[in-house]
Amino acid sequence: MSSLKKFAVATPRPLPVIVLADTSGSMGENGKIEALNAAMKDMVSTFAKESRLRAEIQVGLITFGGKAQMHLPLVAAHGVAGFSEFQAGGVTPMGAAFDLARLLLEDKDRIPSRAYRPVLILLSDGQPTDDWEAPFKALCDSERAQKATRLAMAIGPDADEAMLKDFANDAEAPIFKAHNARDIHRFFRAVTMSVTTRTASQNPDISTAFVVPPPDDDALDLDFQ
Amino acid sequence: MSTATPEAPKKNRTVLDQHGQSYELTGRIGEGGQGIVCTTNYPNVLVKVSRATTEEKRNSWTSKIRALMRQPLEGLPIAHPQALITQPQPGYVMELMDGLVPMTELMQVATDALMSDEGLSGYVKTGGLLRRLKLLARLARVLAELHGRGLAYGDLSPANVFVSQSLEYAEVWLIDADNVASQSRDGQQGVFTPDYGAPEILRGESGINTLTDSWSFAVMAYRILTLVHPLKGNVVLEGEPEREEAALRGELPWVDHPVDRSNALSIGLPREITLNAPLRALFERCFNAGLNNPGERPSLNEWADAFEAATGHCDQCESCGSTFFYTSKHICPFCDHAQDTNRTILLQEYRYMPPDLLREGLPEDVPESLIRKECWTRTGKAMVLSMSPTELKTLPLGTSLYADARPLCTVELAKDGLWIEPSVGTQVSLQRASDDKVVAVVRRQRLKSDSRSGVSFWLHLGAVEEEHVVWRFNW
Repeated sequence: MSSLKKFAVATPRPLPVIVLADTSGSMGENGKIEALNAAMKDMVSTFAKESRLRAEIQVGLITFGGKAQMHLPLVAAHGVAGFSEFQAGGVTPMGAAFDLARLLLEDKDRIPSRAYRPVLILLSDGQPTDDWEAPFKALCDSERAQKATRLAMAIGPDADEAMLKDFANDAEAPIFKAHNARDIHRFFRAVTMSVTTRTASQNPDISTAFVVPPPDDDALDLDFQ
Repeated sequence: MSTATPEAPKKNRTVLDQHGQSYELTGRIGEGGQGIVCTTNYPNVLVKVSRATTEEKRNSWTSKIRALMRQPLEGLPIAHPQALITQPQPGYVMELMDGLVPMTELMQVATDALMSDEGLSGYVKTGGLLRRLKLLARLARVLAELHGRGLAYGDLSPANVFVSQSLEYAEVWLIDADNVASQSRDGQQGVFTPDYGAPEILRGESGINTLTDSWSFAVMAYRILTLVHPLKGNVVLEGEPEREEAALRGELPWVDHPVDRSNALSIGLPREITLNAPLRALFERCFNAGLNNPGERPSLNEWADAFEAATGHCDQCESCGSTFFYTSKHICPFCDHAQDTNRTILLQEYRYMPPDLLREGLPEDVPESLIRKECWTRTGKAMVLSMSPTELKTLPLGTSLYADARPLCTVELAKDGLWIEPSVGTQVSLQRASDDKVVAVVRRQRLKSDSRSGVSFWLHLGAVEEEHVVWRFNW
């Protein structure tokens, strides 16, 4: 058999999804960290199955619990074989996490200029324990973070809602308040949906705003056995 | 913070239709902004559940589906609402045959192989050029029929077009008929899929109609054949997303623009080998003149004719298995293999008008030589005959009535020669150009392989004294 010729095709445009997750000690209570881990796994596996003809969804996970770190560097979702689960523990160094996020966003090697506008997700169940105000402002003021879709989830009554509200920039989607572990899952289902529908059918007449379905209305929340 | 309870294993959800019939939802096959399409406990029965979150949206969606149920979609391979789902969320029931995959898969498999250094294996594995042409011909014909019924499809994209998984078949089904709309409806509905929506929809100037369908079809066809997007040239691919948006709104020339090369593309499968001249001409009309003048775009009937005709112009490589457009060079453009020239013959169609009929009503002084020349009209239609039997009909492949046209004769190129078998009731005769000798073909007969010497033959399909179809070839 003669060898088939080779031709180049376009590499898909990256679509970065960056999650800043609170993994401080309090997240270990009431099944929160377990719900978050399950939600992350679901989200990444759904992204992995998405068509890569137009966009390649990339996922980066930053955690802050004890210390801030890059839990999963920004990688193509379909190439993620698996990642270690979040462990809850320690204080809430949110400021350091904001710095990590800003450095990642501004890194033109990791997020080239041809990338689609990133999606930033911040979730927390408590108050920052480090000096967070300056890093927060620097992140929110950075050019790319301003262009990004920023979503926030306040978990439980102790979360710093005012700060989370400042972080979120989608006028149609105020911060989402999770009251239990199941809400964490619902929030990420909505995040997943809002990312994947960017490349699916769109109707400008119908607002494609970020909408978390009401808890009593889980007709669409299908888990197949 | 309420205490999290470990969740009990959930049962599959059950939905009810307007007649009280229940369906257990067993899996998810598609998900979009408007709803989720699920498999059910019944084979080939799908349920789409709306994503509408408010009472108002639910009602408007339901009335849209009710309207759709009254549209004349019978007999078309379009999965459309059979019954309304009323509980617990509005939705509808539709039927879809199994063994189908979305067209996106053809593109993804072919693209992945090229990106992972496996070359064209993915393109060939998903049916190569000929099957792509067949699928596009079928899709264009279905859409042309829909347009003929006064309806536009609306949100055409490879995710909504399902095709046979098996390479032996080229069935096409459209799903997600929610946006099918009467053309007369003024452009309120601007639904589209990114990359496939017509520029005027993206600019917010128009709703869906047959011309926006024509655009979406052309983008799909171009991408499936060449694996690149017609509006994404090098400057777009390397540029920021804003430039891509501008290109999709119709602000940059298309990648193969004959003069303006500002958005030219250096990658993708070469158009010379994936598109024949008539197809290139249609793409040029759609993406150049039709970019911002929707009325210039080819109709789906024109697309269907061109794709059907193209399916008759292919040869298959003996070496790599690729199908490719026949040329007199007999070289496979996908692997450069030189083909055995005896594997194929080219048939060209003519209409023959007997001199006696032609002379009727003409002045006496028209010279006989002119009459003899004018007897023959070349139609421009051609067929490539390779190793499978082919029917020749009253109309050539690439005309909308071909499927229903009467077969006149079957020709088959085999190792031992060219077999010709007249259909019942058709007078078939073979004329040799070198000496004008005419032989009647009354049963399955052949021209032997060892008599092949490049002489022209005329295969007459009809009584010699009547106007009829003639196919010309060299043997």
